[in-house]
Amino acid sequence: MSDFNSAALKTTDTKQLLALTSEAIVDIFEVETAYVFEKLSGADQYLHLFHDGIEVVCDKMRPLLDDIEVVSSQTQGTGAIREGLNLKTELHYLNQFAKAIYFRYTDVDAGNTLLIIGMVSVKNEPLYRKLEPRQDSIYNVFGQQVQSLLGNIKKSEQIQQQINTISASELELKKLSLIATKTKNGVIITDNQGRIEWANDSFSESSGFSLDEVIGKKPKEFLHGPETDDNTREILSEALSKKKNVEVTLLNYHKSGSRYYNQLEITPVLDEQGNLLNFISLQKDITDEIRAKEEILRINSRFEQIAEKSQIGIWEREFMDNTIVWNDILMNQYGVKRNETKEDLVAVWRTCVHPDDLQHVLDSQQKLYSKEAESVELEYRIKRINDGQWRYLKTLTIAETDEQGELQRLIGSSVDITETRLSQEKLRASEEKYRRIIENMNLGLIETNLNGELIFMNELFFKNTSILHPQHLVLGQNPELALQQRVIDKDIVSFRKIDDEVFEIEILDSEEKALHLLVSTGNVLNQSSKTSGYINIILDISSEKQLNINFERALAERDSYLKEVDTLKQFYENVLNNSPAKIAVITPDLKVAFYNNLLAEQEPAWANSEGKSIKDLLSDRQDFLSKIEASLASLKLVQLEEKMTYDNGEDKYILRNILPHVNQKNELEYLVISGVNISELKEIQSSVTTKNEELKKINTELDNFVYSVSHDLRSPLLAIKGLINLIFQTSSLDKNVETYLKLAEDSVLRLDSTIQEILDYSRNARLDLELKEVDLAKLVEPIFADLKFSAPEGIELEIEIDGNPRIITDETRMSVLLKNIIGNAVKYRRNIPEAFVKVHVSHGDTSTFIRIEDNGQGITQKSLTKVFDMFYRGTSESIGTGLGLYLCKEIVDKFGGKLSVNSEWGQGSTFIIEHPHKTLAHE
Amino acid sequence: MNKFVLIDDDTTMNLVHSTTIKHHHPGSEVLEFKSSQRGLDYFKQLIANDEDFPEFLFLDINMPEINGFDFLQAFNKFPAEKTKGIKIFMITSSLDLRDREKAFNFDTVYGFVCKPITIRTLKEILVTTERRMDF
Repeated sequence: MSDFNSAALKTTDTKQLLALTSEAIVDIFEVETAYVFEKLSGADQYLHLFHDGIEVVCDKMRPLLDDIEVVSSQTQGTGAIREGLNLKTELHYLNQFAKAIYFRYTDVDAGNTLLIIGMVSVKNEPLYRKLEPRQDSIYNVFGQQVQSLLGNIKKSEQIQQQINTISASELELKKLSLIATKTKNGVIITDNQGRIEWANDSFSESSGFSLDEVIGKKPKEFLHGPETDDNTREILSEALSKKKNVEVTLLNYHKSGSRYYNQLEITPVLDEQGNLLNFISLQKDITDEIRAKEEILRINSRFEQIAEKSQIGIWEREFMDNTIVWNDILMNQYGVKRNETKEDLVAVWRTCVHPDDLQHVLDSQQKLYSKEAESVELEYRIKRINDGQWRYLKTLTIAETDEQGELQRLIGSSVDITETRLSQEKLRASEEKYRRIIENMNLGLIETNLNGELIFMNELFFKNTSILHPQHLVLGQNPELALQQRVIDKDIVSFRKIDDEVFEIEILDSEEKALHLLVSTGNVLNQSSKTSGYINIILDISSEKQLNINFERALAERDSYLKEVDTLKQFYENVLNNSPAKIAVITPDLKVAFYNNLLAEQEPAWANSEGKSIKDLLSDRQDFLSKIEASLASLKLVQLEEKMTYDNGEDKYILRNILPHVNQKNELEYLVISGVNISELKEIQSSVTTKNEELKKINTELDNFVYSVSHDLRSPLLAIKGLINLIFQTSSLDKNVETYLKLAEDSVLRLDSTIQEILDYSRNARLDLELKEVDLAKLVEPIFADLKFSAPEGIELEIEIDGNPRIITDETRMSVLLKNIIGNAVKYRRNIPEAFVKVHVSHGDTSTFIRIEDNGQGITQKSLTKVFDMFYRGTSESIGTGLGLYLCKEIVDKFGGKLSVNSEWGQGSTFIIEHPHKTLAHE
Repeated sequence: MNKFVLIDDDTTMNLVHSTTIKHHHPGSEVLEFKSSQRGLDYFKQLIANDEDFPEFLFLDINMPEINGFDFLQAFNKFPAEKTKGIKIFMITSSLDLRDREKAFNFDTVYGFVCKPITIRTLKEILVTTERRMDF
């Protein structure tokens, strides 16, 4: 034991001691094996287990320990398991042990439980029994010894630990204070009330307060200000009162009054009892960070705004976690709603791409995957999901790699350029259109460089205008000078400056014809706005020039016409003013345009009436107005007879003519209203009417008279005629008597004939033509019949009618006319067998011609002129009064026609009646 | 046996006519009346006695009091079966065609003849009337 003691005292380590103990037990107590356990208080696990000087794993001994625990838990000190050990360990070799003696000691102060077990085998058990009583006490003492040794060791371990701790703490402290002092962060140490005990230089720098100024004060007294967030202060106070760690960011006020953001970490320092000793506050001026963050946020938000405004769709695909994010704009571009799309966005994208474009897109993307490219730009079409519209997208995809060059993510942007595309196409189309216009426009374009050398000249213009030397139109830097030179050189005929850049040039073309050109000069500027050349635009104004000349001429003509018109106007006004009629000219809208002097004199209302409406002037003469309107409506002449009463009571009659004048387009230009005083006319008219009435009466009376007279004259005559006939018929007469009677008959006939002629003449002179349709053939028939009888030798009587036998004429007169002429022809026939009278009727445009031809005796030249005279008898043998042809002439005169005769003495005569065509009254 | 009635205010003319008729048609009965009135009375008597009207009537136009046309107006009132047989010829010294027209307005007027009626005229009348009578 003393060896053990001395050895034990040398140990400094718990383990060493326990190992020693486990060896010693075997030596001292003559047990076969020994286990020494240490268990900390409160712990379930045994800490160390030593078996024969070697540490072994406790777990395998578990059941044994549990058993012993059960048995030994009530004892303090020695105990023994006298009976067989019920070992259930895995260490089967322990089964040979029958007995154990143990010592258990729990040291509350040290906080551990020591258990020493010595085990005896069955073989040695009896031997052991003998020693037993003494063994217990020795065991006890030993145990206690070990325990105290253990305690000592533990104590010294503890002390050592404390020393270490203290040194460590000292080191830590040293480090901390170094840090605290040197750190750029502010450090404040306060007491448990929060009053500053110490603060480092950095704190002073950031806050502006020196340590002396702040010592003993609470930071919030001088660091916080009006804008410091109250909520945050609340959190701070709460945490501090709960003695908890707290991290906040506060707005602090510098001594100067400026503000800064302070990130605080306050740690309470507690002692072993948990009492608050100090607070340590770490402070960091994060103003810059905050500002930077704000800046970033601002930039971000601006960026987002830009992105939104420019409608940039953005997507990100992380390969690590295979997430893909689309921004709202991109969603809209594809026409998908965020919550509605359950499918994988990549799949969605694929279905949208136009099949024709898809392959190219995928190929390009492949370049990113294969690291051929860092970014790809594409333009392709997609079909928008919500409305099925085809849209053009311009995309940029960027590949982001990590340090190893592995693909980490893809970022993409997408812009809908459909509208741009469309407007580009429109622009292209209109560019094309303008290009064609310019090409087809007849303008010349010449461009030269600074040296005046020709760069471009459009062929079309120069070809069309057949300018022989277009290069003469190249004007260069100083056009005016160039043109002057050209005139001197006779390359151009003349020029006229219109302004600094525009000139009118006269030049001869290839056919020596003068051309007038308008030339506009200008400078061509390059990108830095320096002149790089000259450009001349040329317009052929030859025709315009000609037009100008024509125009001026036309103007001059117009002026002379205007003068003429003016003269005419004055002339007509004069005429109208001197007309005996009252004349007014009215515009289509019934306003007075002109009135003549007479009208103004006689109807004062019309004076100064230009421009007035005639509705006003004639408001009391509705009849007149309605006639005017009728004329307006029908565009025809309307006449109106008005009776007006003079102031003196006399009546006057005015005949008004309302004559519309229309132009070539049949539009009304103006109305001419003229009024003539027809009172006199009316008087005359009425007196004429009266006289007419009288005349008619006289005529009728005369007619009756003539009729009566003729009847009264003829009756007895006819009686005589009749009686003579009777005598001839009923008696046979003496030759002489017969002769006398015959002569008497002749006289009677002559008288009768005369009476008839007088009657006819009278009737013809007095009576008007009574026109009706008369069949000439039928009219002539009875005439022929009668005459045939009076020419017993026979005479050829013929009538031939060309065309219509019917004419409109006075039947009685025509009958008399024909009877007389045909009668004459028969009367004055020659006594030849082929004697004839031929009547021929033909119609001309204006007249009917009746020719009566005979082959009779004819008329002498001397007589021809007098044949139509009254009472003219050609020969003494002529039978008749001589009235016959006179009457015929009178009748033909009444017809308005002509009676003529051709004759040859001894051959015959031809009478020609020209009877003008007449129409019946109702036609 | 033809029966003729002559109405004319000129008795000389009547004499001439009746002599002419009797000479041409011996055995013809010829009655002369100086006025329309006397003529009408005669016809009235015929009606009263229920005797036939004569075949021919030569009626002068111009007569005082009742002229030829007036006579015709009155004559037309006589019973039709009596008047249908008679042939009325208007005779006149008038050269006026209007009279001719007026005459033919009366459909009872058969013809229009100028004074004096000659043998020739009479022959024509008889021939034409006979011809027509044949129908």
